Amino acid sequence: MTSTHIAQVKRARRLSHDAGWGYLMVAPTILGLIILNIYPFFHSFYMSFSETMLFGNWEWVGLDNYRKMFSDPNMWRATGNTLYFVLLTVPLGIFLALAFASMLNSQIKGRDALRAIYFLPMIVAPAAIAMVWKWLYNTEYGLINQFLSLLIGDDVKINWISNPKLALPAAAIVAIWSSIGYDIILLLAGLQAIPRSYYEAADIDGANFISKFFHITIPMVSPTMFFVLIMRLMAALKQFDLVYMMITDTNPAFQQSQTLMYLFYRESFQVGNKGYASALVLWTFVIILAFTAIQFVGQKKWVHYDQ
Amino acid sequence: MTTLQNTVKRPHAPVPVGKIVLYAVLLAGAVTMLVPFLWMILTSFKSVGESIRVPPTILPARWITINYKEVISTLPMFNLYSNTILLIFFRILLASIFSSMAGYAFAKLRFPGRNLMFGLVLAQNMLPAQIFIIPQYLMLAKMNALNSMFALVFPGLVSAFGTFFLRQTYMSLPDDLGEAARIDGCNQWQTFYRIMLPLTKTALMALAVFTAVFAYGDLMWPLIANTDLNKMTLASGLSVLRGQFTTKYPLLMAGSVLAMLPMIVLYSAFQRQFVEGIALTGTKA
Amino acid sequence: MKTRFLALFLILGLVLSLAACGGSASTTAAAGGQAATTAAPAGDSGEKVKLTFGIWDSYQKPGMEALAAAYTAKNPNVTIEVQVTGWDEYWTKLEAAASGGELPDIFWMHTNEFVKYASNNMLVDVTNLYDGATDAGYSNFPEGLVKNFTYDGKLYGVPKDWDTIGLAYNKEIFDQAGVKYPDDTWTWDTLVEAAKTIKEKTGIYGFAAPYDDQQGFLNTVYQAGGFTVADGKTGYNTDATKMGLAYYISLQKDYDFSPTQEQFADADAGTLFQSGQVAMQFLGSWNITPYMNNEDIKGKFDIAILPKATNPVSGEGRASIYNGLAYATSTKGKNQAAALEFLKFLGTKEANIIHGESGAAIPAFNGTSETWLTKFPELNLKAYTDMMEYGIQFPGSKTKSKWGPIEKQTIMEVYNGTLTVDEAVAKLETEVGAILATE
Repeated sequence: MTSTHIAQVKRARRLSHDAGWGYLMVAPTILGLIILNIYPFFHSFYMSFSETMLFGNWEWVGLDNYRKMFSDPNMWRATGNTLYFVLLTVPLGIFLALAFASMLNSQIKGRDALRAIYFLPMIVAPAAIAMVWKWLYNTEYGLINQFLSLLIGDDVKINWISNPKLALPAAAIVAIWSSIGYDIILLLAGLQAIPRSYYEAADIDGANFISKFFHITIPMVSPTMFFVLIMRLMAALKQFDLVYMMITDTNPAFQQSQTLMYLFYRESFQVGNKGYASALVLWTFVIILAFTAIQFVGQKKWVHYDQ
Repeated sequence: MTTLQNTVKRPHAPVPVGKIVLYAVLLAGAVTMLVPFLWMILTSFKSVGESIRVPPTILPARWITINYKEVISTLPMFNLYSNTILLIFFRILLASIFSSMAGYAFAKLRFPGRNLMFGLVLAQNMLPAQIFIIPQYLMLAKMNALNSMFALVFPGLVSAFGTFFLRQTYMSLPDDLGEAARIDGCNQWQTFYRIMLPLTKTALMALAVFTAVFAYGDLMWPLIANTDLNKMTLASGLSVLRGQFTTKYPLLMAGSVLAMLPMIVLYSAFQRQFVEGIALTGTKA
Repeated sequence: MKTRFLALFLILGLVLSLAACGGSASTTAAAGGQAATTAAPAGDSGEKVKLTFGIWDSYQKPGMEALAAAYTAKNPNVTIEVQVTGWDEYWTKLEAAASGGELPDIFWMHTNEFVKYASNNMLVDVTNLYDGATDAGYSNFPEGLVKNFTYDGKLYGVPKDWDTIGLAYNKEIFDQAGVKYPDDTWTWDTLVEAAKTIKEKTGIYGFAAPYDDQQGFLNTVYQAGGFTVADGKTGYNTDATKMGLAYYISLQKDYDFSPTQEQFADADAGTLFQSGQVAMQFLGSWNITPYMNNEDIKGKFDIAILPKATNPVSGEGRASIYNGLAYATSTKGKNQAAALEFLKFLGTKEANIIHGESGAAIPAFNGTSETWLTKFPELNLKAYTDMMEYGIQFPGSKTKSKWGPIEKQTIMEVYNGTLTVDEAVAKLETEVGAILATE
């Protein structure tokens, strides 16, 4: 027997061995997925070919919902708004989260207290978040305009949440603000897994902060960053509640701010058009799938797995 | 704790200007993070009129505690607390066990259909949660299991988030560790359980924090699955305080402040774990 | 191994909690709906029944509990639990519950959602609920309300309450500007003049005219003699409708006495009025209890009837939009017989008096609205009940959920300046008309 042959046999044996354990270990998750998510998904998929499916009553309409959807200007506007929202929140959000996570991971006084404060927004009531940001953005009395007035020395009256050009960026700021705590936790977990010896070795070589950041921190934390990126992308593409709480349908900026999931919510729960709403879900799903697939291909260029 | 002291005291190149900027940025960030929390507390001590006054007042004109009294008399706080804590406990348990197993398998084991199955896990996160609610509700109704702790825990049987997160964590762990264990005669389960799992402690802590926050913040599911107020969680219980056209904000805020208490206790507990996590990885390497 | 122990423990825990729940569910099911609607009241059977009663407004909880207590006093075997859920979640929850056949025994129904439930056979037909009763029956309720909860000739709910729209004004600001309080002599022109004077003299906004249908343009449209949707037909593109719509929109767009749509995005009309930032607004009667709970505005405001159209295209120039809720019960309810008995009670004069005295809302039963007036005697609440004489039922149809959003989006375009009133009504005439044609 040649050595390669031995290796092949070993590999095959290990593969079958792995396979058994593999199936066993993913079984609870996959089983749960089938029951909890895959079945409901096909239910929705089926619904998208029917007229208002309510309480089990429906009527098959074929591709009508899709035809209607692709000729609906509201849908295209919502798609544009959603993509714009992704652009506004994802890159900046991840950059800020990484910056703050690195800062919170360094040796500073009051680190524990600071961390606790950064995680606080995650458990504050959503109503409080919407209320406080609406006040901050208030044209006449809001802190933001008052601060800007002080800075410029002139009366600033910006309609943050009712100007069609500014409403979505304003919501994006709130979105970054309220999700940064989550991302910081995840990135901190990644940062803390980096062995200190790597940095000590770099210190001996005389590396500065910047070079350590780019040559050790970024590569070592890249699997977590990739995870954060995917999660943020998905969350941004599914954005609904923040925009819903801040920009109502009588706001002049509504048309320029309605996201796909906001439209889905209105069609599904307000208009009661479940079939059409399901088609919207499918459309959103396709967009998210495309984004995710691109990221999974693209990760090979920058994510370092230790294998 | 001693190991922590050691890591903290480890000498670093002193860059005073950099430090000052660092503190300034961190403090500015902290203030922004604190604003809504303070707003919530201040509002909870205001009267209804003051809470919606234009222009807004910052400090309450008169500090009143009636909102807290009303929340405590309206809501079965003890039940809400214990349901929330139980729900968090079960969800964390499920997420860490099942997601660890699946995450490890997806990262380190090779088996046919692996990528497809992982794709399914990801797909769960691509779909809006709203489309799952009614089908899941119907399943529970068929099982005659509404209004129970099981109903609350049910959608947490699978954590796509946890599976994906732990897969990433396992992928960043060196393969040699597993190989070494295998040579020592460990089977796959033993390798996973004895060697690999302990290395993901920090990630598991982060996952626990997340799972807790998600379970805590989930409004819709507990509200729909459990109709009995005594069987609801804090977040869904607070929905009772809302009106159709107008909401008594101070009441809602007082309820929210009370609801935060268990999370703050939990967090304090986890914070220590976090710190220990750092110390562990710090000394091991 | 530790993990295995945990897993075992977990599964055990779940199984136990499941078993515990199964037990409790079967006890409530035991009361089963075997009795027909005409059977003796559940109270006589001696069987213990617990009914659930779903509502969405926490302000009305005490009123609903008073009704429940009054019923239990007469029927000691029946206890009723009032469950409050916030408005948005209420409908999601109700939809899930309806799909699963787990609706509350009694629940509030709104005109926006009614058709969906009635057309899918979710609600019990209560047309004959009062057959044989001498002192009760649907003739005691405003016709429009009964019609509102009628689908294909059958009635699916017992009318609960109604509301109208009045003109709320801040007395302090009026005094400060030296303007006479609104009364029944006011017309559209008087309103404009008063609002102008207030803005000039005090700098405070005279009137809040946000986009609103029920508390906004619908009132002026009907005052001018127009209509939007009635009996399956559209009336958007008529002179009267255009006049009413143009007048209401002009209050915000043509003068400087109202905040703009941008400003309403920051703080809504109610918030501004309660903070003393505007002197007048169109106000639905359901806001009275919350306003009287706000010490900032309590004692400073009062209510007048809506001003009449100055030169209506047709009619007297008077109108106020009214709407109302109903109590309904589920076709799949396990306690249907007992629920129907309670429903029957809710439609009696006695129940309506309790409802009115609690101040929850104006009770639907004719002649009992007076009881609601006594809750806040310092206010001229009679303005609300007086307007019922020429009240117009909030427009609706089977497909309201489909054309409603179109109406809103189109009229909002007038506010945004992308459409004129003429273009908007022409568009609505075609688009809403097309939807109505499918009914």
